[in-house]
Order: sequence, then C-alpha cells, then structure tokens
Amino acid sequence: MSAHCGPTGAGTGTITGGTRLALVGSPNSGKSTLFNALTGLRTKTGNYPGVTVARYEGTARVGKQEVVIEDLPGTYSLDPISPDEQVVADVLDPDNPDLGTPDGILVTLDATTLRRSLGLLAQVMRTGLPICVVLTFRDELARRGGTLDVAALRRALGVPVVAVTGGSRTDLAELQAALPESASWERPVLPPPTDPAQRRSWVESVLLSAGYEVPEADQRTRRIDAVLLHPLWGTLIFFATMFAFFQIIFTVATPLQDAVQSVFDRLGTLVTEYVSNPLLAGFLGNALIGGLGSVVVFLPQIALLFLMISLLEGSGYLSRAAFLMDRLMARAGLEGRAFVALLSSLACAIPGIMATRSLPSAKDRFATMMGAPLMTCSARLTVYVLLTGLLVSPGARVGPFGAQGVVMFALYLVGALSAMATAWVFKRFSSRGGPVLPFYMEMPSYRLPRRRSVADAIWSACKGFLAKVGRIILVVTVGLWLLLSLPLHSDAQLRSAGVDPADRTAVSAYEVDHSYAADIGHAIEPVFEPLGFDWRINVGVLGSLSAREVFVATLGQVAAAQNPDQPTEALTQMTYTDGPHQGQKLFTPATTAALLVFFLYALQCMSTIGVMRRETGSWKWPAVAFGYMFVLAWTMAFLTHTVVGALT
Amino acid sequence: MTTIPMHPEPTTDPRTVRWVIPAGTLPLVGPITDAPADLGTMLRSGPVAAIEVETQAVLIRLAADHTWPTAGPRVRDALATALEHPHEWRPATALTEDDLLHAALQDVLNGPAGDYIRSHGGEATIVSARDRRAEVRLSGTCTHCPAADFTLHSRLETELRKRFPALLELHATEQPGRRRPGPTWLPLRRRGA
Repeated sequence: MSAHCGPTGAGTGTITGGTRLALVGSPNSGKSTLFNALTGLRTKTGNYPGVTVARYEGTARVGKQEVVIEDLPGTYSLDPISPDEQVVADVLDPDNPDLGTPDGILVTLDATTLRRSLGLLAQVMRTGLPICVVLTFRDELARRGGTLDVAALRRALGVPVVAVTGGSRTDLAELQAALPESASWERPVLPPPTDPAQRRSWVESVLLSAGYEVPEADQRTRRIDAVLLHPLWGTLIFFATMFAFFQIIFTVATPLQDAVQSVFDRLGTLVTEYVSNPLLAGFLGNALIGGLGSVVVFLPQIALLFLMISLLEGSGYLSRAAFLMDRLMARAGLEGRAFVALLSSLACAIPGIMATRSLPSAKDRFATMMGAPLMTCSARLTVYVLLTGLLVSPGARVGPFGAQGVVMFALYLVGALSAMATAWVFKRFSSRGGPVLPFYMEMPSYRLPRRRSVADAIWSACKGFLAKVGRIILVVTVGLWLLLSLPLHSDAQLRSAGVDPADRTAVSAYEVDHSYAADIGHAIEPVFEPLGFDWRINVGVLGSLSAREVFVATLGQVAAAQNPDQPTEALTQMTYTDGPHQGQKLFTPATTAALLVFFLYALQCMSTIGVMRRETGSWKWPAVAFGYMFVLAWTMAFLTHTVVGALT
Repeated sequence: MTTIPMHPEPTTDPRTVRWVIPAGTLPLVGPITDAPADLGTMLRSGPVAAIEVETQAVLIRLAADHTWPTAGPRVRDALATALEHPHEWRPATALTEDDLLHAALQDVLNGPAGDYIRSHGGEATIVSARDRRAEVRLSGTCTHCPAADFTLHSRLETELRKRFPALLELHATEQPGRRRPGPTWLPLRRRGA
C-alpha cells in the first residue's frame, strides 16, 4: 500500500557529496512548495501542520553543481515539543553526532506572519551555520495592504534575503544561484540574543527597520470564516461539504467507471473468442481481466477522492475542518492535531499514522494511531463501492440524494466515529496522565489551490494505485487464481460428477467449487458462518488481509469463472453452493451489510501494520491493533447480520 | 519588562557596529563621552573604544584587541540597560534642540529618502533648522518638478517627523522661476497693447 499513500520513508538513506542545505520553516510558510520547486521532487504541499513529517531529501541542479536539500518538518521554534520539532532541533544541532550538520540553512519566512517567524529565525541564527532567508507570500502581503522593505530587512538581519513569489522562475533563479555559495553567505555581525525579552526587542527592531506594516487580516478570509467557523453554520456546512464529497465521488465517477469497465468487458470477450487453451484463457479471463480489471475499475474514484482532498487542503478548508472538529476531538480526549491525522487517513492510514508525529504527547500518538486504521481509506472505497452496489440499487433514492451516496456517507461517518471512540478508549486505559501540552493550529488565508499541486496529488495517487495493482494485488490475485483453478480435473472426473465437459461455464463453476481455495474457504467456514459468509467470501477475506482490494479481485475472479459474459450479474445471482442455505442467494442484504461492517473494522492492510511497527518501534502495537480490530470487526459484523437479517 | 527595540547592523569597519534604535530614544547626537551603567564602564576602561549617537542608531567601535563575537553579548546587555536611562548619556558637545533637528534632517537626507531624490537627479540641501522649523532647498531636477511638493511632504516630512516628533514645519525654499501653487489666470489685457 505504501506506494499510493503519499509520504512514506522516502529518503531514509542520505545523499552524499556536494553542498548540503537544510530547509527550515514554520508550517504553511511555503516550505514544501519551495522544496518542490527547487528539487523537482514531488512531495505533497499542505495547509495544515503535520503534512511533512517524513524526512525528505532532493537534489537541486545549479549549472553543473548539485546541491542536496533536506526538507525538515515544519516547526514554530527550536524548543521541541513534538517528535517533529525534535528532528529539526537535532539536525540543526552541530553537536549532535547522529545526524550530519548541513552546510547551510534555508529559512522560509512567511511575509504575512513575519513577527512570529522571526522568533524561529533568531533561534536558527544561534546555530552559527550560514543562513539564507527565503521570503514567501510577499504577493499576499501586498494584496492585504502590508508593506516590507526587503533590502532593509536584509540589512537588519545581516543574512541574505531572497523574496520568492510562488512559482516565479526569475525569483527562483536568484535563489538557485545563491545555493552552492553557502560558505560565502553573509553572516550576521552578532547572533540574535537568547533572552526572550531581548529577542522580542530584536524582532521588533528588525521589523521597524524593515518598515514592516502588519497586514490586516485578509478581509475575504475573515468574511468567509465568519460563516465557515460559526459554531452552528460552520458545523452544518462541514457536514454538508463532506456529504457532497461522497455524492460527487459516486455521480461523477460512474460514467468514467463504466467506460473502464466496458474496455475490460471487450478484452474479456476477445479472450473467450481467440484463446482456445482453457488454462491460458482462464488465466487471462479470470485472473487478469476478471481479477485485476475489477480493481482497476476504481481508478476514477481514487482520482476523484484525491482531487477533492487536495482541493480542500489547498484551499485552506481542511484546517477549518480540523478546528471545527477540535471540540469533538476533545470529547475523545484528543486535540485538534489528532484530527489532522485522522483526516489524512481518509486517503490512506499510512500518511495518517505518520502525521501523528506532530502530536507532542506519546500517549495521544498511540491512541490516534490505534484509531487511524478505522478511518475509511481509499482501499476500503473499492470494497464499499462494490458491496454498496450489491446492497442498494443504483436508482434508489433517499429524498433528493442517491441512496448509494448516502450509504457511503454513513460508512465514512461510522468509520470516523469508531476511530474516535477507539482513540478515546485507548487514551482512557493507557496509563497515567501526562502534562497538558500547548496546542496551536494555524488558519491559513484561503488560497486558490495550485493547479500543479492538485494535479501532482492525483497523479501520484493514481500512479501508486496502479503500481499497487501491478505488484501486491497481481501477485496475490495470481496466487488465488492458482488456488481457485487447481487441482485440474480430467474429463472423466467431470463426467463422473455429472458435469458436461463441453459446457465451459459449468466446468469452471465445478472447478472453482472443488478447488484448493474452496478447501481453505470451507476450512475457516466455522469462523465466518455466523456472519453469513460462504467459502468464497472467506477466501476473499483471507486474501484481503494483504490488501483490501484483493477482495474485489477475488470476487471478480469467482464471478468471471461462473459467468464470463456478465460478471456483475453473476455476483448478484450468486447462491450458497452447500450447507444449510444451499440454493439461497448469497448476497442478501444481511450478508452484504455484515461484509461492509467487517471491512469497516478489520485491519486488512500489511503496509499499515508495517508502518505501525516502524512508528512505534515494536510489534506490540500492530499486534494489538490487528487483534482488537479483528474482534471488533467480527462482533460488529455479527450484530449487523443479525439485525439486518431480522429486519429483512 | 519592555526592552527598547534594537538590532545590530554591520558597517564598513569590522570593529564598528551600528545598533539601530527607534528615533527619539536618545535626546542627543554626536560622539559620547560617558554613558550610564556598564556601557559607561566599558567605554572608560574596557572593550569599547568609541560611541557615537545618530538619530536612529548608536555606533559602537570596539578596541583593537576585541571582536564582536566575544564582546558583543556584553555590549548588547549594557546598551539595552543604558537606553533605559536616556538622560544620563553625556555628549562630547552640548547640543541644542536646533542641533538635533539639523542632525535629524541630515539623517533623513542621507537615508533612503535622500537616495530616492538623488536617484533621478534631484538634490536636497538643508537651508536652516531652528525653532522646530526646517527649510530645505530642492534643486536639480526637482526645480520644475510638479511632484516635488509630494516628495517634500510625504517623504521628507514623514521621515523627519519620525526622528524629530516636535517638528512644526518643513518647507522648501522658493526657487526663482518655480511656479507658484494655485490657479493661473489668463491676463485680461493683451501685453504691450
């Protein structure tokens, strides 16, 4: 899963040789944007703290020279209160033997919040390393009626100051030219004072001298916030936004999805027409087209999900959402930053778990980490879409809204509530109380999302999704196909079982029912029987422990084997092949709902477990998470099956 | 405790640092013979060789055997304390208010406002500074410039008032040939008629 989930442990090894520069700045100071612009290496740019938590390195080419740039996590000061800020302090500490000291530091200063940013700069200047200040958002300062004399600022700070306006190539060129020269960067005559009162006076004096006029709060932002941060309207709008979010994912994606599906249908027809070898035809038709195809169909939805998340993030709305939810998070005993982590988990639990690094309290971190995998990630989306399609007919409506979208929204909502409930439980029962740590969260001005950032987010998500399909899912799917097709049955065996070897549909149905996979599925039937699952679902569930999408691929394969022409039809018509319910429809509302709930709670993602292991440093927490989530999933699915079964 | 804003800036001389302070912090300009508290001690017997006050800065030169990285923190602390007692500073020459006004105006003309005037061939010189009133002569390309009044009031006067808040008036000397402000009437009688 790591590939399509954005930030992972990229750049754990360090690049050697050449000038090494560290990039330091407050969250939202345009640091990640600058990093991307300088190195061309893409990381996500976000509007809320905690987006950049992993260690990023990139190489900037200046003429023939190469400059290695390390993008450090956003920080407000060098007095660390979170693991994130600790990293920054450690890297910049020349006495720290574990981490190499950079040759120079680039400090991004947001021109609109200069007073606060200078406090950080003062601390960074105390390190004695060469410093170059990169002034960002000067255009926004001007728009909001603030003034700043860059030349005077440079004189007052005693270090180079380069103003870079988002994406301007001429500004960047000036900065790039300065990069390899870190040794000859102007040094301040005297580092700023350490005493807080004296430091304030230094900051004040620099600002006075640079003719800094505090920009008035952005009128537009203030007016929008008056509504969006309103306790009542804001909350209503938040839920309406989220609701619209899922409606859009469904309505807009459907035609695109149909287009992708028709391509795979055509391929399937071609295979049945032209490939005569039954084994090869089975492999191509069932494993590749039926299995992988059924997963790839969800590409439009993944793209849309990331489009909307990056739009919300880029515009600055996500921080508002986090702010609105802070009160709710407090109920769960957590703070607003934990919400950021949970929100990131909507895309994938991995960036969510990594975002917990911005939480200063270890207790909060573990509690959030335990909850994060319950958030509905994009991998669950594929399963949800498939099962929701089985549960609710596309035409059904709840009031003016599509019923499928409503069910999806409910699933997301339940996932989120469960995540918070879990965090609350873990917080409650994990040992003694620690000191209350300060919480601050920035509300950036509303900005138009940058087209490139949005495009990058979608592109890397889709690329990652396809890469994942090509690796984990392909391997597991092929493995499952083998299990589903073996052992081979001779014509004689088929005849003795009463199957006409000429009828290919009947043959493949018989083969699937008597495959090794069927044996495995039957073997674990006692576990899932109370939930209404038959052996085919069991195999899917087992396979989905590696990655959730495999479930969709498995069902796709089984269905394709039973009715190669209309796999979707085959799925809805699927019946129990044996046992007490033999002949009854498999995907009854009760079973489908139970499956949905099972997927809502179960931790079926090896990558998440791996990242959890890395972030907590032991196998204890991933084991706890897997265990509690499985028990929770089974119990909730059982309850759902019973309740829905009784109602229908 | 509110500390007076100040920060160091380098000068061409590595031993001299320009400590920028808000205008009007010290009621004097020019070389200093004695300063309050530790700054005075440092000037008399220690690492500080000379102190000179400008309208918006204190120039401090260190003695030959001292460097800013080592002596700097002590000087900073001493200066911060000394600035709290503006009336205990002793200038080398006693100064009148007129001298302060003159120095403030000179500082404005030497600074960015003066640079701006010089940048397009204008010239501004001090004619007089007394009784809280100052007069400058705008010459060069300023002579016939319709925007000269704007420069005078929105730039020079604003800057001067920052440095010398008691300012009553800043005006420009009338130039021969410079058009008077106000409407120009067409003559009713033809000339020479």
